Order: sequence, then C-alpha cells, then structure tokens
Amino acid sequence: MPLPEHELEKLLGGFASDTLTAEERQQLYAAALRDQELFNALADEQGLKDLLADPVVRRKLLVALAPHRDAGHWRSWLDRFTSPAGLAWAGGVAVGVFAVVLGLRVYEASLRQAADTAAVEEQRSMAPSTAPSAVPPLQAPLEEEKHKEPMAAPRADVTGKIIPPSSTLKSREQSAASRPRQEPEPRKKQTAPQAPAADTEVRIMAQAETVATAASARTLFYAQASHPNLAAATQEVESVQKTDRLALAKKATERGAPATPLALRYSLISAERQLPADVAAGGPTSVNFIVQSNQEGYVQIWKRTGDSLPELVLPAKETGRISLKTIAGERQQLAVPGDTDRLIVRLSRVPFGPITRQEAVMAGRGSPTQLTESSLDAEEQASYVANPDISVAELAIEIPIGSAAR
Amino acid sequence: MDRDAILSALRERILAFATLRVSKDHAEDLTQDVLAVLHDKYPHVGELTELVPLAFQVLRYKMLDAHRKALRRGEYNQASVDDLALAAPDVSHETQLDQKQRVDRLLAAIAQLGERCRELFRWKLEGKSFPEIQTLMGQTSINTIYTWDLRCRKQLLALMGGSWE
Repeated sequence: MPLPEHELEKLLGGFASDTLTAEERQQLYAAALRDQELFNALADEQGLKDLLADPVVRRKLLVALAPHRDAGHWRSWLDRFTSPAGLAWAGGVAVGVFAVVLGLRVYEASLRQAADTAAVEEQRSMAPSTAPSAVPPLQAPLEEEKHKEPMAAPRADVTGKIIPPSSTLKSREQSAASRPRQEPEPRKKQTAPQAPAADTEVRIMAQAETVATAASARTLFYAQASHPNLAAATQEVESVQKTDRLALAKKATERGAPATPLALRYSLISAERQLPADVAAGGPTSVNFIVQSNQEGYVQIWKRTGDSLPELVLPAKETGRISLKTIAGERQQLAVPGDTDRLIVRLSRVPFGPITRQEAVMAGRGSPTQLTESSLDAEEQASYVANPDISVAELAIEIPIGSAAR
Repeated sequence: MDRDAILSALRERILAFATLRVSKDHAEDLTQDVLAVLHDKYPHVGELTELVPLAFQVLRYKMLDAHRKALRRGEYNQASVDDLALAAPDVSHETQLDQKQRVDRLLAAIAQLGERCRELFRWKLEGKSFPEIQTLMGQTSINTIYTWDLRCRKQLLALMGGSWE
C-alpha cells in the first residue's frame, strides 16, 4: 500500500541504506521533486548514504551490530520458533516425541503383560493349592499331621508323641472317622513360618507353599478343598484379592482353574484269597485292581506285559470307548491277569482323546509334582496318588503288578 | 517525467536547499555546478530513480567542496594568516580522516541504540528491504516498520550530534 505524500519521509531510512524497492524509490523521488522539505531531508541523508555505500564501513557497522550472544539468543530462538517454519518444525518434533512415548508405553505394557503371565505361571507351579474349592469333601478331613509324613519313618504329632510307622490304613480310617474335626492351628503354627506382615502377598505365597508341601496324597484325596490349611489360605487369598489388585492367585481363580486337586486311590487285592486253592495254584495268580477318584472324571487303565506295548483294558474294548466316566468315590474294579507286568492308570477331568499305544507308554509317566503315598497292609495294598497343583488336568501313574501277582 | 523536466525540478530544489546552507550567491554557483556535472558527465541518465539520487550525490560533493574552500579561505573563522597551512593539505587524506571520524561517531552512536533499532539497522545493512524486514520482525503492517525506522534514524542522528556529516 503506497504511503501518503506527507508520510514519505518514512522511506528516508531505506534511501540511505539503498534498500528501497523500485516502487518505493519511484514514490520517494517523485515526491522529493514536489516537496522541498522532503528534498532537503534526502539531501541531508546523502551523507549517511555515502558512508554506508563503503563496504569497509558497512562491514564495521555489521560487526558492531552483531546480536549480543546472551540477549539476542533467546529472542532469535523465539523468532525462529514463532515463524511458520519453526512452528511446523516444532509440530513435527512434538508428533515424533508423542509417537515415541506412545510406542514405549505400548512396549512397556506388553512387557508387563508378559511378565504378569509368566508370574502367574510361576505362581501356579509354586503355590498350586491356593485356589478355593466349592466342592464339598468326600469325607471328613483327616488330621493332616498324621498323614503327611512318610509312612516308613516315625514322626511326632502335635503333642510330641511318637507315632509308629506301621499304623494301618484301616486303623487310620477308623480313627479319622471316630475323631472329631480338629482345628489345625498348632500344626499351622509349626509349619507356616510367619512372613513379614507388610508383605501380604509374600506371606500368602509362603503359606500356600507350606500347605502344598504339608498335604500328602492321602490328605489331598480325602480332604480336598476343606483341608484346614487350604481353606485358611484360600480365605486369606480371597480377602487380599478384594484389596490387592496384584494378587496373582486371583488370576488363577478367575481363569476357572479346578478347585480340587486331582487324586486317586487304588488298591491291589490278591485274588488267591478269594479263589479256591486248586484254582489259585493252577497258574499265575491274578489280582483285583480297584481304583477310585476323588472327583468326577474319566479313567483309563492300560496294561503292559513284558516288552509289549500297552493295551487298553478299561474301558473294555467291547464298549468302543476310550474314557470311562467315574464319579467321586466310585470304585472301578478290574481283574488283572497274572502275566501283567504293569498297569498304567490315567485320571482326567476331561474325556481322553485317542492316543497310540506308543504314546500310552509316555502317558504313564506322571508329573514330577505328583505325590504318592502307599499303605502297606497284609490284606490290602492301598495307595494314593495326587497332584497338589489344581491346574493339572490329568493324573497318571504306572503301577508294577508283577511282584504282587506272582 | 522526462529528463529535462526532472532537471528543471532538480534545479529549483537544489537552489532552495543550498540557499539554506550557504549564501545566495554561492547557492546559485553550487546549483549551476551540480547541473553542469549532470549535463556534461551523465547525459545518458534520464530515469527519475537514477537521476535524482545522482543529483543528491553530486550536490553533496559540491557542498563539501565549497565547505572546504570556505575553510581554507577563512570565511568561517577569521584567523591569522600565520595559522593557515602554507601548503594545501592532501584532499584524499583529509577526506579519509573525515570519513574515519564520521565512522567512529556512527559506531559510538549505534552502540547506544536499543535492541530493536540495532536489529533493524543490521538488516538494512544486510540489504534487506522493508517488506523483508517486516517479515523478519513478524509485523503485520509495513507502516510499523517505516515508523520504527524513522524513530531509530532520528535517535541515531541525535546521538551523532544532529548531522550525518
């Protein structure tokens, strides 16, 4: 927009530094020929113009006018920042930083999730019996302190009395049935060392681990979730779950993990006692194999003779099935021929899928966390197999038969 | 506007300007000398935007020359003949010294300016036009830049004692 005539003296500065545009020069000089004052001003400005026309002088002045490092620095930065290019650059940088931060957060979240998953898996393997059970017990819970120690070794009860290792299953069952339920507080105090009160989670894990190690196969078979220590630990876990979002046991429970450890009881009864003496002496003695589970599930029994591959004997081939459904406490009886070397018993919460006979050999190998407890009795060989890990869906055991039959 | 019209207008303005600075007789001579230079040495320059600044340049040299002659003749200061230099000093040396003094004064004056004026002068010395300076200083109106420049120049002129010479 051209300046009004009376304001053309504003262009004088551009005249001296020779920085006027062509239009500004035309305006200024034409006005100077009409306006004496403007002409005089331009004539006076000529001295400065000549001075600034000298390159040496100009260079000296530029050096003198160089911006102060301290004062001009921020202004220069501010000017650069507020310019369109600066704003675009800053916007780009901001978007980049935002993307990096977002990416890092997503990465951290994925790492945390992976760590949580690993921790839950670890928790499962370390303290498998912390989950509560809604299934009522098959029988009244037995005194844990009487059955969790190895049968062969003498042990002390809560009162310090030495219990002989040769106590029989019958006597134990009788005593268990006749004895009222006892609170396991004294034992609990002995077996569960107090963890620091501040670290509730650690305490629960330690307690659950104590329960798992304290529970024997027989206890797990009978006591199930009503085991006092289990119940106490479960109750505590539940109370903590309400307030502690990091309680890993909650995740295990929420996943619908079974509440009762898988356990079975089997016994071998020599058939010769049930048969006439002439029949029994005619060939290899057979045995009756009786198995029962502590909960509803599916049973499969294979037999092995010599080096031959296993053969499914329960359910029988005639049924056309590969899984025999059983309920808690139901006895499945099987007459085992005398030439049988081993039986492979499998118990599962879900029906078995088809496997080859070679695979059945592998299937007979039980889990390392599996507990076994045997009761050596003159008339009945009763053994208990249980896995305290409630997440385990299948129990398997290979039972040598030969010595018992022959 | 053709060259003759421009020269005619220039004669009128130069005479009026010179009359304010020197005596009327000298002003007439000065004007005549300027126009003679323009006529004899620059007959090919006819554009307004070239002829007018050229006239200002010639006028300044003629004024300085007249000023030096007056000094040498003692027209401003009636000093004793004994005080006058016997030999005429070297003109170029005198001019150089004069310019050096002016540059020193200018540098001293610029050092006293505010940050905005210094910035504005710096961009002008770097050859930036007013519209470019307007962009650099982030102003929406170029009149703001004109006004700032006028004020800064007046401030600088005042710091130099009221004259660029």
